[in-house]
Amino acid sequence: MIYGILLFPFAAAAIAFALRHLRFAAATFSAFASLVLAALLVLQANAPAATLFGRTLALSAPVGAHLAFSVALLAIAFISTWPLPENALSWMLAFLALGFLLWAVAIEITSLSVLFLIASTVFMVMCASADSTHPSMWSMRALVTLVTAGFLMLAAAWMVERPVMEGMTTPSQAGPILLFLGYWILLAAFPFSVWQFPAFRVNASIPRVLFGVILPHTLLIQLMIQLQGALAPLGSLVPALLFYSGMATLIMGGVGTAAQTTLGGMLAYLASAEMGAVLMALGSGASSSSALGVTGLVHRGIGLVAMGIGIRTLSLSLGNDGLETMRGAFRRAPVTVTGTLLAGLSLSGFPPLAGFATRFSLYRMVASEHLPWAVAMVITGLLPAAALARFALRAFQVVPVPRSRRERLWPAVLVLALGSLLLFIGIWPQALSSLFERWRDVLLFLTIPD
Amino acid sequence: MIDLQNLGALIDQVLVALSVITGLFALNSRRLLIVPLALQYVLAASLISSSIGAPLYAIRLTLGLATSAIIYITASRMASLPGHSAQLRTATQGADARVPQMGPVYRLVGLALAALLAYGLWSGGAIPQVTPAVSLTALWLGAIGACMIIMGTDPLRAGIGLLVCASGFLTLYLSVESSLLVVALAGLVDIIIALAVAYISEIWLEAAAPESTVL
Repeated sequence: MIYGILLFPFAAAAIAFALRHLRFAAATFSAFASLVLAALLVLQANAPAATLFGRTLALSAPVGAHLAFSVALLAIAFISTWPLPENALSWMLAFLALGFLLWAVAIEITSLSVLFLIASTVFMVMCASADSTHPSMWSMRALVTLVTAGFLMLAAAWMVERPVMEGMTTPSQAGPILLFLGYWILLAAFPFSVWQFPAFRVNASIPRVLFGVILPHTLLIQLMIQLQGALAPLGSLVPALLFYSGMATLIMGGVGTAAQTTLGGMLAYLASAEMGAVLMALGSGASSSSALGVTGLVHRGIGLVAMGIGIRTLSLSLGNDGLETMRGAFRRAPVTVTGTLLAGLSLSGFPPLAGFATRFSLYRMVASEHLPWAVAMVITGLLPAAALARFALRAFQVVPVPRSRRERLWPAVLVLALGSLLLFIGIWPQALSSLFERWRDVLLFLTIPD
Repeated sequence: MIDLQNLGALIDQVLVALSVITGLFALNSRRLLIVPLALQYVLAASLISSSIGAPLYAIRLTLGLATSAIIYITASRMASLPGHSAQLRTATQGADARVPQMGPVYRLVGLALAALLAYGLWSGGAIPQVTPAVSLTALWLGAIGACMIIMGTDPLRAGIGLLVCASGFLTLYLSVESSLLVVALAGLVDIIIALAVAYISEIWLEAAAPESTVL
């Protein structure tokens, strides 16, 4: 079964390429294929490992569950491309990125895993650059950054997998450090966040899901698994680095959101801030840290997809995603504006939405140790809410909106549904527990050593 | 410290080849960049042939030449687009035009400095488990590749820099890790990066063309 899962995205990429000029067919097929892949990932939870050229291929239950969740969110982005057109190659490139990523997590040899990861990130950059509307060197710079991070990890893998090099009596200490540095860059945590922001500014939903959901989910799970293995020599250094870089990312994201003049820019910094919160939670060392971090990651994924599709819908309806263009937007796109606001407020940790639970726990945790830091975090946490209030004030103005058109109903309903889900989870967090208890446990199964 | 006098003729030959390659990378014509790109793949593959064996050497060489072919096709397409004349050239070379000093001489000086830095690093100490010729080539290619990325004013030139840098790193890596799967995957990664460079260059040119028309 595992071979089927690993080859499925490549077959889907070939079909998506063949259908690329038939937008409705390609979007529908891609969404359906993603859902099938998500189902296969869940169903293979206890499938036996396979062997290829002497290398073990296996997808553990938590990895499968997280990938299934991410792929399901990708399916939502795919289906939104039916009324909201994106580049004709986006579906194929997304499947190729997904295919190589699956190989990266399935193969147990770190060096091979890293090579697959590099291939996957290159396809993600291609997907993001496909929708560029102005000449920019961002794609090439992101490519250079990601490939460099990959090579760092490849060098680290060699050092880790060959514990005692010639002439050395103890294993190289540089290996785990380089490996973690590679993860740090790819996760776009402070100070390496800069390469990722333009990917969110590109007005397309698929690259946002690839860079904002699929890549960080996979990397964080791999990172947490490797804390028991290749990264074990670093001991408590990794959680500490995660915590402090997460705090810096959270503060930078909050300040950055307030300075943005477009919704795409706001989403980029909101997503970064929420990633900071997740990293802080994972690195906090508390007994519930992994559950808190993974919960935050799940809520972040839903919020990011909802706001991404919402911004795309508003851009199509009003011309662009500039804040000034949003004056009177509620009259033309009431459903999308409501859904986008709900998703944005959840990403900014505003009560009573889903994102608030993670933020509140973090604030309490930090306040018990360093009150000034907690105050700084609360202030920077309020800045995104203020930025969203700026958007809301403009959107609810009663002014004529020239050269605009009504929102597309289908993506608007998707955005509102996801936004409402975040509100529902925020108000009643236990509501879905009884329905999805088993999957919740699998999603939160991973642990991080204290 | 590496004892240069005892290293023999191979190092001299490698030094000459690397210098020629470095000089050719300073050329203005993007299509001609295929020559140093292919040459460095041949040199790098030849140097690690003893550790990876003849079949893997052939695979590495073929993949390197295929990568060069992809870049050549892109460079040719950029030159032969229907509107290739003043407007598209302005779009492609707009950044060059704004910084007139960044011509071939400037690039040559920059690349020469990067190469000198690599030579200095190499002569300062040996890398364990790696022959001096391989470590010199890897450091040299890495340094000039990084220099080309920094100086690149369009995705194609910066992308070629990335490929050269990657080739330097992979030369070092494959000289110590030479399993069939790793060599094949490293080649696949090279090809995928080349495809990405080609794709990004075309997207960049398409996006730049209307702006130049407006200008």
